[in-house]
Amino acid sequence: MYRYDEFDAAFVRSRVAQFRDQVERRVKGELTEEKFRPLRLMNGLYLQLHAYMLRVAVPYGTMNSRQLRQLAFIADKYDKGYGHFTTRQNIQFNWPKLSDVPDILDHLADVEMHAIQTSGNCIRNVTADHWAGVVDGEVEDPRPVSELLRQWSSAHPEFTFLPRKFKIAVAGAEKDRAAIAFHDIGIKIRRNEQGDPGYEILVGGGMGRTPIVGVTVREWLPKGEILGYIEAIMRVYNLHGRRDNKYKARIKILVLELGKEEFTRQVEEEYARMGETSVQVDPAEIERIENYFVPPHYEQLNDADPVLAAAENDNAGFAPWVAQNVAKHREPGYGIVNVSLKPTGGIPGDATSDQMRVVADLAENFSFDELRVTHEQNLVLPHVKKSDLFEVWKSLVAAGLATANLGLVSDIICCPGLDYCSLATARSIPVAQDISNHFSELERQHEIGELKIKISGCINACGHHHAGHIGILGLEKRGEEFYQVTLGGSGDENAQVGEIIGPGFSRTEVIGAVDTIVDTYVSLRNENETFLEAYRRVGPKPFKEAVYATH
Amino acid sequence: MPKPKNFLQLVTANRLNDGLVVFLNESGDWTESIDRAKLVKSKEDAESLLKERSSTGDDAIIEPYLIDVEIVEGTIAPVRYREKLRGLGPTVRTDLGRQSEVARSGLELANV
Repeated sequence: MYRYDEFDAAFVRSRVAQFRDQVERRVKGELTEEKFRPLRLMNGLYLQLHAYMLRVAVPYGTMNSRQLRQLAFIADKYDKGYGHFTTRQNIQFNWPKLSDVPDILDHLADVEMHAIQTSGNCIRNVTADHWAGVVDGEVEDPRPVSELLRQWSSAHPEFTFLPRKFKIAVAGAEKDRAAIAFHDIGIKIRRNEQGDPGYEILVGGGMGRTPIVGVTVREWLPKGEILGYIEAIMRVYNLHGRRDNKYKARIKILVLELGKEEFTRQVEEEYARMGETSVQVDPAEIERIENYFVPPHYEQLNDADPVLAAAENDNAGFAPWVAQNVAKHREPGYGIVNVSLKPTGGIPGDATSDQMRVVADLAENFSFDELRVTHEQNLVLPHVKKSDLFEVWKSLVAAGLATANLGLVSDIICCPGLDYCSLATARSIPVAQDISNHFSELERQHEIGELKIKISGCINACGHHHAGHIGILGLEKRGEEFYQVTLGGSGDENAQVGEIIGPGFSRTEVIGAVDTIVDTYVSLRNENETFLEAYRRVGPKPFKEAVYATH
Repeated sequence: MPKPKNFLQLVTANRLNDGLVVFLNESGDWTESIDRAKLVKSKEDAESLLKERSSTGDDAIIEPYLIDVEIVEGTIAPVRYREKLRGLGPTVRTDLGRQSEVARSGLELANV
């Protein structure tokens, strides 16, 4: 994984020192809150419903054990002993004191981490496929270009005060696990007809109050042109993006208003105008970054492992976990271990400091000291030998981290909602907990099969409800929480915005509605047909009829 | 949101150093207990109180604003659901926030 060079280290330390001074001046009253607010936001510090919240960047979701242990240390020393992994592959601490934040940032800098670009109208932390570099069928590892974009965009003066926040995601395979079509810019690594790797560029995707699937503005871009082309997109946005209306300020609105053809024409015109002045990435620099992401030294192994087979036979809970949570690794004899942060009735994405240390130890001992955070709010140990899976599973079981529910009905994406967020209009976590408890029998979940439920506590859609096979949006109506249900959304390579099925449900009704939807799917599905496939075949009608007949 | 029967408001904010929720009391200080908050019974008084506090250069707190409250069984209770939660802590972690301190101290929660 990437290691800071002297410039990275000096830059992050200087930002910590700068913020320390700003905090001191704020506490002394030398800075008003009006002046201080944008400064704290530039360092990831929000004011939430009950307290401050510090959002720490995990670039493209990749970490090592030392970094995760440091997060656990911060959780214990400065927070309440836990952290919340987010849909942007970041982690949030919910209770830091303002005066402690400079020290926290120093501790983060000790392990090459920071909270820069986790807030404000800048290019945010770049996200990527959480199985990068290890999954079969990948054209290229998406992390080197993500790192390149991180370095280019960090404190870029032209893009520090954009009309609105700006999110970039990168996928390296045909299968999209990074929801690139729901980002301001989505980058898909693909080959052209000659077989050369390059980038398909999507623009204008997003969720929030105006959910839109991004459109392709370049089918294939040579790798060396990525920064120049992205810069051209950013310039068109910076020039024409709406600054007069927060709700129309994202690039998706500009693309929508101009239309794909006109927006693309303007980008291409700007790119051509930039000519030789545009940033061409030095191939040596690309190679330097790529060298940080070379695969670890795998052992030459047979894919079928006798130790694993014996353990699966002898331990009832182990085999289902292997089947559901361990994905195929491109190296024979290895597996991609997905650590569920969705225990039955738990808070999606939350991990205690003890759990973080367990995962850090497992990463160090069994996964070449590497782990990932997923946008689906789970963790990944990307390179585990099959012969080690049983040991890893036992440790995860002991830590409450071995729920065999990856991609199933209880593997719910869920924003913090009104339990933490000052923008939220309703709670989302209790709804996720209700669903998780309702479908607590894993056997039943496995029978239902792949089903992605995503819950947001307000129209901003941090819980990705628009992309949920079943999406749930919490709102406030006459002082009460109520929940709107959408069906058929998808954040993958066939991205789609879910459709609202009808009037919303009260807090107590929503679980019944979800149950009816699931039952309806089970009753009408063809053999091996997933929920999404069935929905796309039959449409919303049978689901609506079933739900509103009983509620 | 529901309209309160009678106009009754108080000023709330977050404490600068730790961000915790506080309420303006009769003495002009900030308290974590909503039960000790100063109540105002007219829109004019409420706006005047908020303006006064906002212009004092009070650096102990941030983002002061008015909320609707009502008296329920003799205690002060926010009208909006959001404010009820804000005063307590996360409902999914009742071991955290003001609710946990109240529980530890043996005091009763104020109708929230």
